[in-house]
Amino acid sequence: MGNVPTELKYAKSHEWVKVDGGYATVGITDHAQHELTDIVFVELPTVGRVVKAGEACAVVESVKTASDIYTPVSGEIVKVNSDTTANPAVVNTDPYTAGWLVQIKLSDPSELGALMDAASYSVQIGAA
Amino acid sequence: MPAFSSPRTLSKPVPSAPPQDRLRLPEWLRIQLPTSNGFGKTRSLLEELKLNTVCQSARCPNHWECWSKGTATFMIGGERCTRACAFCAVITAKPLPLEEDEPDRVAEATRRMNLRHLVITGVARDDLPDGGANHFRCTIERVRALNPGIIIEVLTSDFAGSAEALEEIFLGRPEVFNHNIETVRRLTPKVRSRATYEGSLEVLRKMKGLAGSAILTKSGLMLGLGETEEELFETLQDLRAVGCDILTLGQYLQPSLHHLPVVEYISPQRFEAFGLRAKEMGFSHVSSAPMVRSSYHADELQIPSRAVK
Repeated sequence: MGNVPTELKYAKSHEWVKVDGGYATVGITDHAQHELTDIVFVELPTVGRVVKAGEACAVVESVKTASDIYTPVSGEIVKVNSDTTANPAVVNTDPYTAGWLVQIKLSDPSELGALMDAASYSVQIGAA
Repeated sequence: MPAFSSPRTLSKPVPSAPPQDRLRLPEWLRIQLPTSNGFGKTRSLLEELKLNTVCQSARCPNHWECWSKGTATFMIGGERCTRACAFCAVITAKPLPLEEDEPDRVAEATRRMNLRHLVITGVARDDLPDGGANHFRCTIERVRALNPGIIIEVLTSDFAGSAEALEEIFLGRPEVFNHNIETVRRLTPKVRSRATYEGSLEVLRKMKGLAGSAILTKSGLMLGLGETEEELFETLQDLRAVGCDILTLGQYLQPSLHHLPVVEYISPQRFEAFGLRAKEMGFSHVSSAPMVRSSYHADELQIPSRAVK
């Protein structure tokens, strides 16, 4: 079925968001990493880049496919997880923890309201 | 932590970093995971009816697109194949007994998904005396009984060259019979498992001999495994010589780090050129593009169903 932690928020494009104060950590869901299979490259954005919600900000490439990762929120990229570029497989093994991708300083926290909760995301992926 | 534990999703431990000389995927192969509920609905239905798909078992990069649109290619005979082709992600293992109700479940899924054109494939079942041919035939017949007017395409192994098995499939009267040559003559021993280049040509020749124009025959190749253009055109000529009507050409993609590496990513423009050349050679239908697979957009064929209304 896929692990869908209830404390996170989700975008239709299979990113999860963890909010902490004015900052959002973003990664791809367990469903996404499972669908993509063995991840072999991760391309991360530059720190300092300003992004708008829905903008492609990273690329996750597996053996068979490459997929754009879209930021669910607008703001400034303050941190990127270089562990994933050194060891892309961590996105497969720990998509919600060690496999996080970017951290964004939120410019518009109200955008969080448009994201899905775990239950809605589970319906989307047919896991509910 | 991945929550999946079924055999089809277990993979061998992945090395911590891929080799530095690994080719990057070109931009034209980038995909988007589906954002609508369509994917989830198809997935739920398939899980409810306990049906396997080659989409999932072979890790097809199109499967999000196809499942989102409500189509899928069922894989019958279980998820364990008796062969170990170096390009394929389907598990190689001792198969379980055939499920007698599988043909009915395929027919039911077809009905619920409202499919107009169904592709049925299967794992190789060299453990069975008929290679699973009768199971294929039953599936075709059950699907047709429940879905009048449907177009049925089957994609099979070589049934170890068995003429009886091919005749069984013929008696099922699918509209399209697909058996893939997969690659050029020179690369066949490296790429395929038990099947041979000549053996596959013979399968297509036999089916055409049995059916004539009543069944369209179809074959396909994966490109980018190191074949030359000359070798490709030679294979296309060999396919035409056995009366093959329909051709698919797609980019080989490595299903996991344990499968054959990609030698070359061929551009969409070159695929288009190959497709034009194939049409000149006389194939009545050709699909040639990087993401094309045997059953990709198969319903765009628009051939008449043989069902009498």
